[in-house]
Amino acid sequence: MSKRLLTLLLVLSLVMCLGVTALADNDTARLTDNAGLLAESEIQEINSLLDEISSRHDFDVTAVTANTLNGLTPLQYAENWIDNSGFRTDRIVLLISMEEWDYYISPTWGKASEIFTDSGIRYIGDEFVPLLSRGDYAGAIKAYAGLCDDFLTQAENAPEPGTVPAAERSILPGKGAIILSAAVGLLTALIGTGRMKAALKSVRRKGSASDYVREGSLRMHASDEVFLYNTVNRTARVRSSPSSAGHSGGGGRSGGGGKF
Amino acid sequence: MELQEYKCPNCGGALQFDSAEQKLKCPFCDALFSVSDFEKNDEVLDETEETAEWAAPAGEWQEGEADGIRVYVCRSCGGEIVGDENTAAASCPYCGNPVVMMGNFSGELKPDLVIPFRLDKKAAMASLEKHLSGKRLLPKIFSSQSHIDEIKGIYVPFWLFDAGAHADIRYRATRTRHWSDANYEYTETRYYDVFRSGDLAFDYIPVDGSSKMPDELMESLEPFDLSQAVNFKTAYLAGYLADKYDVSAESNMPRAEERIRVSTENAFARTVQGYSGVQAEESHIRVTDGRIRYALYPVWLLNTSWNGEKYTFAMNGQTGKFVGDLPMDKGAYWRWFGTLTGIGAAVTYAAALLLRIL
Repeated sequence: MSKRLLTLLLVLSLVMCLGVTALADNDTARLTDNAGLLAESEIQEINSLLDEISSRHDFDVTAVTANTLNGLTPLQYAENWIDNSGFRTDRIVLLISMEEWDYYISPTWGKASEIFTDSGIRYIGDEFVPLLSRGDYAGAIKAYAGLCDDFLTQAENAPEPGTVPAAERSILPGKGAIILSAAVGLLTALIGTGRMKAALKSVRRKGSASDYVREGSLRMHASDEVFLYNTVNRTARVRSSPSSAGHSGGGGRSGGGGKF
Repeated sequence: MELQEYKCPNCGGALQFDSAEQKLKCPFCDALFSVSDFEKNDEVLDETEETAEWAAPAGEWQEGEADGIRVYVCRSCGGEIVGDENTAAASCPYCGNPVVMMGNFSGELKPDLVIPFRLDKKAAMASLEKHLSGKRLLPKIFSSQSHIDEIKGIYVPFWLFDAGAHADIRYRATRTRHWSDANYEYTETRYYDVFRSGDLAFDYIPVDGSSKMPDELMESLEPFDLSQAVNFKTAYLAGYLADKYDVSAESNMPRAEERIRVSTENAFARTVQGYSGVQAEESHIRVTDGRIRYALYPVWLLNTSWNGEKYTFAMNGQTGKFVGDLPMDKGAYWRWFGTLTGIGAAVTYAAALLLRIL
């Protein structure tokens, strides 16, 4: 009897160990909401979105939120979370920290930093920061996911990764061109009709008597030019300042973040 | 007042000054007579001014209506020629006989100079057509609907001023210099006080001496070429209308002075060279009077009416310059405005599109 119990216990613990190992083998959910910013349904929705993108591109797109960084820098926190999570080597993580309202995107090294350059990260950041500022965390993460998808798709298709997705540059000129066209149109019309209107009017006073000046009668008796004083003004030259959104780090690393 | 007539010695027809020939021509027998043939008639002008007499017209006139109206009796046909106190030359409306009211030219009223007509009535009509063509905003029916009410060749009295101007003008002038080094961009401005004092002379500045002729219209016809001016002889007036002046030279002087001032300031400002900015600070201009002459200048006057409004056109009878304000078709204006806006916008948009594609 006790032998059977013992075997049962052993099998159970083995199964449990296996279960635990299996759990350990499973990736952490790609969206981990430690700060409790999202509803259950949103978390599930975003997770399936991130899973789909990640499997399609063979690249982990992940996001984590936190209430406090526990004294770590955003980079350190993000790296720690990744190291403990079992994600692929090719991955990108978005960290949203409510402690001081920071966000951080870290693709780190290798292929990821080639696809997501510093300017690419800045671009992605600019796109979803307004949503973060509004408190639309689900929307922000979804926007981040969509942009990562674009970048990854473009990297697979285009020879030059890290640039702004081609979808942004449509062939039609944007709003600026429309306003300029309207302005030029109005200007042409004003000038054209102004000239036509002026052609109708021919009766006008003669301002001067220049036709009647006796030739060569202009005689100067005195002409003086006296220097009075001078003033010197100076304006400081504008020096271009380097952008500081990204962090400088060791070889191959890339990443960037900011406040929202 | 004595009326002077110009009759053809051959056939008795009414002579008219022909602008093409620059002689008096008889329209009936085509005979030509030079102006000097009638010179001795003008001797009466040098006598003192006669008192005006006029024949009282039949019928009653209201108080004030008769003021200024003069009626003359044509010696050839007895018809009445109606003018005002300024009318100096006219034609009898019945027999076409040209008459000159000698009293309005005698004594101090005798003009010094006259520029004879160089262009005739046909030229005036042709000029009008040219003036109306090519004006995109002119209502299309203006040319067809408007009709010439009257077209008259008239000698307009002008006062011609010769004057000298003495000016002392002070300017504040600046010169600027730019340079830069690694940290700053510099602008140096040097201020100067510039002084000019001198004289300028003017000849024959015309000011309209008739209150009936709009001054703006007459000024628009300038310039008249005085090299073609001749000493006044009444024979030049045959076939045209003429008025004597009713605005004195003194009242016209301010207008001449104003034009002199502007011209002087312009001429002096042109002598201040080599500065980036010039501002006149003090300007004293003294106009010294020279001669004042009285002249008659030739003008073709066309009056039309259209849409209840009167339009006056004038042509310089010597140079042919044609002036006259025209009405604007509002519908056409906005149509053109819209079309041009559309074209301008479309071209700019297409250019932007092309630049994007390239």
